[in-house]
Amino acid sequence: MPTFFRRHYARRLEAVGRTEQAVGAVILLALAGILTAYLLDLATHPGSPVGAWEAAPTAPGDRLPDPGLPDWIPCRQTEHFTADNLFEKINGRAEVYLQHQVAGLTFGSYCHQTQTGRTIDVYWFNMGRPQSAQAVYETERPAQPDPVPIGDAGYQSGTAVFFRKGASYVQVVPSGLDPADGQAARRIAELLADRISYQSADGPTSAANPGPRP
Amino acid sequence: MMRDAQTGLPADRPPRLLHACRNALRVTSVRIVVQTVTLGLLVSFVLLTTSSSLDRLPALRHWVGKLLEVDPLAALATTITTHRLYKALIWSLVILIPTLFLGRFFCNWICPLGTLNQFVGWLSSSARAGQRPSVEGPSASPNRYRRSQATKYYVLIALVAAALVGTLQTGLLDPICLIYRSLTAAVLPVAQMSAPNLLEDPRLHQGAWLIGFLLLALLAANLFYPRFFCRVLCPLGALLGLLSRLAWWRIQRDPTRCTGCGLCLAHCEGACDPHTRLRRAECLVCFNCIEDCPEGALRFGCLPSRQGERAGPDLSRRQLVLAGLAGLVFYPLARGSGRVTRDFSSRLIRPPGALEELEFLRRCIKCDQCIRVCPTNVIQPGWFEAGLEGLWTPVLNFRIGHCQLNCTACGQVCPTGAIRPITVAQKLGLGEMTEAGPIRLGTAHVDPGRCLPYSAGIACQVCEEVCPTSPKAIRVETLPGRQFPVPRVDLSLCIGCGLCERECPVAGDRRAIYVTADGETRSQRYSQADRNRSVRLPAPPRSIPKQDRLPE
Amino acid sequence: MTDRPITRRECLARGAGAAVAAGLAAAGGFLLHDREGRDPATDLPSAGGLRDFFAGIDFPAGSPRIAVVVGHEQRIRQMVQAALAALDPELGLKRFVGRGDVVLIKPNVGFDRPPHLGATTHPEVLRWVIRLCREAGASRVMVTDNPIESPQACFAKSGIGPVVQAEGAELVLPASGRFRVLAPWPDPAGQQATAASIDWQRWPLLWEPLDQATRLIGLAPVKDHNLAGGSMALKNWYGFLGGRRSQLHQAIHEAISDLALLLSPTLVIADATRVMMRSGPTGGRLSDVSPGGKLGRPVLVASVDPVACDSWCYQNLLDRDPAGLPYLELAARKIQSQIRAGRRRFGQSDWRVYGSEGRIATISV
Repeated sequence: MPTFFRRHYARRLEAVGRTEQAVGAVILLALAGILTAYLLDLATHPGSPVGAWEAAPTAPGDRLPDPGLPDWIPCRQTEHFTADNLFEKINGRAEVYLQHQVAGLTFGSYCHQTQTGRTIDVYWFNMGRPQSAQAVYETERPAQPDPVPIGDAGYQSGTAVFFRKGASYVQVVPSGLDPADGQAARRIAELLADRISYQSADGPTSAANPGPRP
Repeated sequence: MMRDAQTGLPADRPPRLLHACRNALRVTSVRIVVQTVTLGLLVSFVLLTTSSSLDRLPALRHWVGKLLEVDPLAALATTITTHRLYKALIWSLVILIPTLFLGRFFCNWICPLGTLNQFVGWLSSSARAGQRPSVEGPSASPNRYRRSQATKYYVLIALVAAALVGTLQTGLLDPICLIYRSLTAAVLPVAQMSAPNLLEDPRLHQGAWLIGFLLLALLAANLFYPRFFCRVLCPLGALLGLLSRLAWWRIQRDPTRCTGCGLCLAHCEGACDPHTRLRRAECLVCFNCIEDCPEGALRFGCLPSRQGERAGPDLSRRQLVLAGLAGLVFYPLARGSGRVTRDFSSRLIRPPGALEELEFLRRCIKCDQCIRVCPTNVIQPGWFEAGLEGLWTPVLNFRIGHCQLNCTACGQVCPTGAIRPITVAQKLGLGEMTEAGPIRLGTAHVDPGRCLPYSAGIACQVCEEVCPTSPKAIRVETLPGRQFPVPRVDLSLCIGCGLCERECPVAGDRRAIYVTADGETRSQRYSQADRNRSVRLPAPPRSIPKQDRLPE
Repeated sequence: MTDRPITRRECLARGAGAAVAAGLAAAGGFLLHDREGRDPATDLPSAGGLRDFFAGIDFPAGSPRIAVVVGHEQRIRQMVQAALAALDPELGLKRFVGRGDVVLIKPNVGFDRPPHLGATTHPEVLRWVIRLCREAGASRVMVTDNPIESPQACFAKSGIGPVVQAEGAELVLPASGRFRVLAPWPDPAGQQATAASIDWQRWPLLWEPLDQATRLIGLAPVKDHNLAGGSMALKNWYGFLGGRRSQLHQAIHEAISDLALLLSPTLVIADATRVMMRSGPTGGRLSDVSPGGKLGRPVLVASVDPVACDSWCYQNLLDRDPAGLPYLELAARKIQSQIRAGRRRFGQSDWRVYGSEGRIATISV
């Protein structure tokens, strides 16, 4: 790059008049100002989940509950499936649930506030009866689970949390393996477990489910 | 004042630091700082808005395309084709109005391609250091004015004439568009390939070789003809040159001090004859001549020099008319091939939020910003899918990527509104937009001759599995005579996102399921058969409540 | 100061020039500034509403709605005159077309076929209708259609073009400049909009002749139609459509019944001189064509009520049950709301029932 300081300037230093210096100084200051503004913008504006430049609007009540975590927000409308179209969501896995007479699935997601692609998916199966929920829970549980005190029974496998409560069987599955995601998943699972009532397993958005216990 | 016998400088000269500061405030030093910072900002804009750092985009949305937004040629050309000045393009006044008073300062202070051209030229000339061009005299200097410098005005006229009849081709040679496009499609991928662990994986761009070679050729030309692009081809420079006609400030030469040595030509960037009659339209306001003049005969002032100056460029009337004709005739010839209307290519799939094709071509300046920010690399610089006019406009190639469901990045960065900024709700038809329905890019079609369960008796269903819409637009059905279920696309649900084509295991260039432009929603408002590519009957007016309808 | 002294005037002039240019640029920029990024306007210009082509006709209450004439191939002129006379014994066509009227005749010229194959209107029928219109005092007689194939070829091969020229009527070809989209909705009160099934507001119509005409006469051949069931007086209006009208096949009955709602003609004449009994609408085999369909002899049906006309022809000429033709019922229901509102006169509510209540006049020629 050309240097500011040539060894030899044809124009002598005295010829650089005050006006020129003043204008130069103003320009440099303005440049510094623009740079500062740019860097400040870079530093202070948080990112947002990819693609959801504006939060996807959903009907009130049709979202998962806010976990109160600094980085995670519910970011999509929840989807509801019945036994007939369960296959559309979970494909081959549907077999297991259908065998145990699943009544429905509510699916929702939490997105990370600043990192794109980092999500926590929630699969909330309404198994109709507690026995069915227990049955699928046992089927999916690995041999040496890492138990967590959520719902009637729960465990954590990697970063994912699985628990059952009443007739509900819930999977909280982060997209990544970061332990922070695992902690967030536990918090979310606890929150959802609070929402489950033994009277109704309609899902966390159902009016029949109580709010968080005092 | 006592002078030092050796240096000739005053004996009581200021300490070195102040000396250095005053040198740093020389106008050429300031200019170099401004050029460097601007180029650095541009590179930073490009680096920080690649797909891996897409979460930066909301913060940088107003910075990313700033150079495009201040580009007067883009603003002028889109105003001519659309009769409106789109949103942020009004920033071009920030460059345009000072140019009217100061001349073509943009070319040497701000334009990044100008900076690169100057840099390559400097490298080449410093490699030939020791030659003193002035020895041969001004007529042999590489910075003498040459008649070929009039070419850029003809280029400008041709492009403006083309814009007058409705086709926007300024982006091909506009330096800002060119540098953005080259950085996106050629430079950045090459840098990524060279530093595989530092930067993210390089992305693919159709025809990147042409974009890269164009940049290389233009930069290499500086080795033989300094500032070749800026002097000979640049339509933006030509426009600013024409606008300098009324400029109040310009380089003044004092003939009483001038010795005719021609040293001012040594580093003259614009080849504007500061040693005789200044050509105002060519002067790039680089101030090198002022630095180089040993007699101090040149200054930047607001009055003309006694020897006079040339206000406007030397243009031959005949060439002008020819250039205008070329521009006017380009449009009917390009449209006459029918690639934009009846013979449209089913592969001409534009990004979500893009306007209908004729309106799109009036606005796209081929800056390729949308291509860079696309997270899946599905948007590609187009070839001739839309005929001649479509070169380097964004086209989706679903073999390379797919359109992510919740992503609306491309519309956020389009400076001219060829792709509108849409919300996710508009894109997917959610919430309030449920009645209006989703934006469809096209429709997926199953090719039973290649589809595995159809033609080969092999179970598959990948397309159905990966279809991201909810409910899925692809179902499988069991047909008599077929051992495994075969896919079937529901036209009312398919939005043309291309994930099925992307994931289809039949990986040749004709996949077993592929997306065509049929059914795109961007053209469905248009009634003429040549512009409307919808497949299904448009829905009846929804504003009429259902209870007011006659019973079916 | 070593430059030549510059006059104050030159200084000011130069400064003013730049300032004016700057001001113009700024003003232009702000005037044209599009802050919200409004969508560009769509392409075709819009037209006003369609007029009622039956307005102003004093049609006596007791007159027959449908006139059926059975005749001979060589007696087309007598058939045409008899049909119109049956509708109005006193005045014939003069009841419908008055002095100075601009008449638009809409034959079916949809296909590149010679007339004897029954895909298009019989040119002789058209000839005599044109002549009678002139006798009734029409100032202009226009003939138009928007065929599927090349207009020049269709008009020539079907024999319609030469007849129009010979009779001195105007042939209006479907050039793109003649099309408009119907917006705002034809009926300002929104009643028709309520009843329609299709969104016609973005649909181009062959607007220019419809706008210039004061009377509209449809001349439709009676044909089988493998998608719609039958192609008769109502399907004939399809020829006014432009744009991607092939999409309408996805809801053909809704489209035809909507056209019945949109267009209120003066008269329709169903040309059953050669009825295409099978393989419609294109046809192509002489064996599919039968004069008068079931009746065996050339027939012309003139009517003020296109729905009734279609129903009668479907039953008596094509020998099928009108109850099995969905667009008939849809059209009748849609027009009912117009009749109740007093905007239309004819739209058979009892279209399925044809007794001899004096609504049908049958003549043999």
